[in-house]
Amino acid sequence: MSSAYQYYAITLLVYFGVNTIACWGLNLQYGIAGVLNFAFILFQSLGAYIASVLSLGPAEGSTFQTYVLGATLPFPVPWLVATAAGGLLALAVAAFALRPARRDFQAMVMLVVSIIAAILVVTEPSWFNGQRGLAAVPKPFVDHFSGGLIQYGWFYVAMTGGVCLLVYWFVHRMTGSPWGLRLRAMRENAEALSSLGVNVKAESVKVYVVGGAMAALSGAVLVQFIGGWSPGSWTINETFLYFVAIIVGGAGNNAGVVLGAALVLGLFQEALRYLPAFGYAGLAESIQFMALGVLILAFLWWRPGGLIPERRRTYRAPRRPAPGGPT
Amino acid sequence: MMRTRGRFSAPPLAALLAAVTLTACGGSSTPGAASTLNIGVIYPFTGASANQGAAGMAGCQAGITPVNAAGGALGHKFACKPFDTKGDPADAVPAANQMLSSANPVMVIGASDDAVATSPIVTAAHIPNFATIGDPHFDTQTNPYFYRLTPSDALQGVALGYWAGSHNLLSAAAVFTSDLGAQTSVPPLRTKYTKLGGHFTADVTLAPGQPSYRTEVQKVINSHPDAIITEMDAQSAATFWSEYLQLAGGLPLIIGTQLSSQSDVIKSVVAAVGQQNFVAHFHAITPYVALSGPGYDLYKTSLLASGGQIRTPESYLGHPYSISDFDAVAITALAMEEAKSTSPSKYNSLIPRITAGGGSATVVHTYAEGLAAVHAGKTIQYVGASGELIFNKYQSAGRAFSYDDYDPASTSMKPITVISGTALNG
Amino acid sequence: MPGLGFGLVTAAILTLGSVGFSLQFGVSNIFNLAYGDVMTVGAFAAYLVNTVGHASIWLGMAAGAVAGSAASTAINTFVYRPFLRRGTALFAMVMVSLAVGTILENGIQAIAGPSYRGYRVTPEKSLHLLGMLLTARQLTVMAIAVACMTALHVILRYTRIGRAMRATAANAELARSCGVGTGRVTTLAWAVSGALCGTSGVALALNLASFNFTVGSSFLLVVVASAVFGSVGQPYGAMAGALVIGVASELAAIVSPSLKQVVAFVLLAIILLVRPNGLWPGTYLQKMEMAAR
Repeated sequence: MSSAYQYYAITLLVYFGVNTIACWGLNLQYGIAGVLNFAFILFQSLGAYIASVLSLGPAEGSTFQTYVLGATLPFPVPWLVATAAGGLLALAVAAFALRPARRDFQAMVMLVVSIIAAILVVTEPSWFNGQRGLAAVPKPFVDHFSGGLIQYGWFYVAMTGGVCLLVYWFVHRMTGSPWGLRLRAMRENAEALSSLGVNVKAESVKVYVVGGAMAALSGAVLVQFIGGWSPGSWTINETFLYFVAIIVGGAGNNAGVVLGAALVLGLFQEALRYLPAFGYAGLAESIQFMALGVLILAFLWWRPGGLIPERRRTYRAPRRPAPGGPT
Repeated sequence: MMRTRGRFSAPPLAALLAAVTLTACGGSSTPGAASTLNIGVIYPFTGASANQGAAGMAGCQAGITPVNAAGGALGHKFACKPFDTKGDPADAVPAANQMLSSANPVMVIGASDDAVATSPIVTAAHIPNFATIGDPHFDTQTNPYFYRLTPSDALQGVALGYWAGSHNLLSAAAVFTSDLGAQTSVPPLRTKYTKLGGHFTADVTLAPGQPSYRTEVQKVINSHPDAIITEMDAQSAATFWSEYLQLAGGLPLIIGTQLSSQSDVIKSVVAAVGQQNFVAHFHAITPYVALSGPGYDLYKTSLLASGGQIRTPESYLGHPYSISDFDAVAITALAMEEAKSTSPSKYNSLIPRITAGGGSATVVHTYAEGLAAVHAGKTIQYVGASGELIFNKYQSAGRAFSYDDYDPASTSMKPITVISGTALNG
Repeated sequence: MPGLGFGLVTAAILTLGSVGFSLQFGVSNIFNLAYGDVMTVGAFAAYLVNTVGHASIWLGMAAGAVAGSAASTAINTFVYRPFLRRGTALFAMVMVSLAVGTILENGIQAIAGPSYRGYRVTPEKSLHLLGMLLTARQLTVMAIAVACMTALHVILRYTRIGRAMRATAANAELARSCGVGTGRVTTLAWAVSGALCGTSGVALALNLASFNFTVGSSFLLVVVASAVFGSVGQPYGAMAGALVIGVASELAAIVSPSLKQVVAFVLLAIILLVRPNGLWPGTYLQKMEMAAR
């Protein structure tokens, strides 16, 4: 493969890994537990920002950007701190956003939190360099690669893959555990669950924290690959696209959302890039977005359960012939 | 808010497969005898900055018209291929990679603000990259494949300060939006202006796209400046100035920047304050483009002839990005001819020489002239639509600035006084 | 107090928008994220009439109202209602509306291009009124908002169809069993709210002086904030929300202009914390508590 194709393949694979991690996090929240986190992208973004400033070095040394917490911490410390920060922010936000009783009002509060955060980051350039965003984020271990960007790119794919495996092991255990069962019960009927003595609010907070940490990790992995992060990277449209990926793939199903990430965030967007150029500049791109809208409608109409629907979990009642029934 | 379009675009196997298949067929990477050479145009084509992409494509389309009419470069015709960054680094990276793999470009035009994400990828692939980014990050860059066509935001700030300070404007207010040059233009503006004896009455940073700027407007009015030095996007500018007119009952002397002279900004501000007010009060300090001469005339006819590909081509007649992108195409094509190769590693080093000139160089204004001179074995200096375009050792185009008035006939800014580059260095 | 004047203009535009949004949510329970793009449709319809047709901006505003009404009704009839009949969950309806919004917004961009436009209006002198500086056009926008709200109030309060609308919003099943043709009522509610939506789109574009295809969607969240502030689904609550958010954000701007937007949203967050279900919950809350189960 020519180097351009290799680098393109590398980009696609890293993005796929990052989106998969994020989708598992959101699936845990929405697909499994049924909580609507409309601020999901905020946590991914926090991870990206934290990982950036912890590897960029002291801000005083930079001539073109301003940020907080500047440091050069060795890999993988920035990723770990970013993950922890995502969990902490989720804890703070959840304590606040879960106040209203109804789920759709909770979702509204999360949406508002997401927007306020974006406005604050833009109006306070001293935090993360405002609207311009952070650039020139260093890549871990890049000095050890004499073989250039391609060799390093494949190394980064391997690192991303490693993180994916780790996260998969984690979410697989989570969703299969009794805790996962409790979360599914909460999604189906929160009142019934709380009548069994389960603290539904505490479970929701836990789900926010775990999902938020996963989102932050995905942001950290992404930003050290791209090398830059700005407010344009985390509009609420991004959160919705993650929801679309989960709905298309199959909410509640960890394998389904991987497929959703590949198809919606990957194949569909990339395939449209290959359409021949026509009309005036910008026309093809706006038609691309219209096509994305049509895709969402088509899926919700024909396959609302997604491509790989969640497996129905039924628990057989003890075998006993029904009284008076046919035997 | 939902102004900016998202990132997204990512993985999957099918694109990979497509990539593998294409390579296996051996098609794209070895151009045949008279194959078409692609120019990658990478800018936001959707979202709030979609105008940048339209301007870049206008410049590219206008640029390839005379090259193709003269038979192309080494017999190859050029084609412009757009790639959308959506105004976001996270989307710009896959777009850049897709551009390199699918279009196999011989040169890349763009990006603007997204260049921090795209340029490292393009230059790592050893393809000449002509960017229109003002970010001072690139002031001292040393990559030989990177060329900057627009001056640094820092230099724009110095030019504003110099003009205001040397024209008896004792006091001024600075009004900049937070997302544009405010962080990079204002500090050098302040330094230069105060050094020349000026004094700032107000220094206002606006959040772009607000439904009202009444408080900010009032603050500026109350400070009674001789002039207002400003850079705002089209919508913010229209809102700000219509409220200013409403609250103050009139307008002061207003000095804008390169952005203020772009057609969409002019159009929306004229709609907001009326043409009479605009002619009387609005001026701009912009990179000097003569908007005349043989190079510019060719740009004009080529641009207007590209109506099929470009919407409202006439709105890019005075657009500094489009004009310098037009020149970038001719320069690269001439460099190919001189190197007798379409391989970037061969012609890239000749690009700065095509515009640098020197003692015995023959000055050419169009691609056709340049082609004839190169074939005659002469050393050439290309002086095209943007005039002299000389790259410094960091490969930024050293440009003079000009003080512009609005010309209602052409609905664009026309240069009145030229501010030479040397005046800005002191 | 010029600040109050601008606050009132913003509040007038917001009122038109958020009352329409609230009305839709009340009768259909759909969180319609395509609402902002229908505002854009209205703004562009007015542009066509005003610049291409050389008519006055007020005729343009009427055209915007008609276009908004037609677009809203069509979206409800041909997209939302079939999806609801098919049993699509209400959360998934948010995705449906987002998809419709994306299609609309990009459709407008495909036709009109990305550049900014302004209406053909002559600049006018401002008038001093009770210490406020306002132009005649801004006063007219406010008068139109007041007239629309009064008309809506009369319809909701005193007409059969208005009572049917309120009954449908309060409890659609009960209304149906009492003989209310909820389908027809819902369609009418979408037509009325669409007209308000289109009008507010034109008013917004007129006040901004310059707009492009993102004009409505970038304003949508403030509209939603006002609607939620006054308990979404409650038109009277939305009026209160629009007034508070519109005026408060302009007044807050005197303290710190850069945090103007944040102030609006912080206000909303505080209201949600103190009164988790909005300023004006009423019957709507009971209905949603039922629906949440």
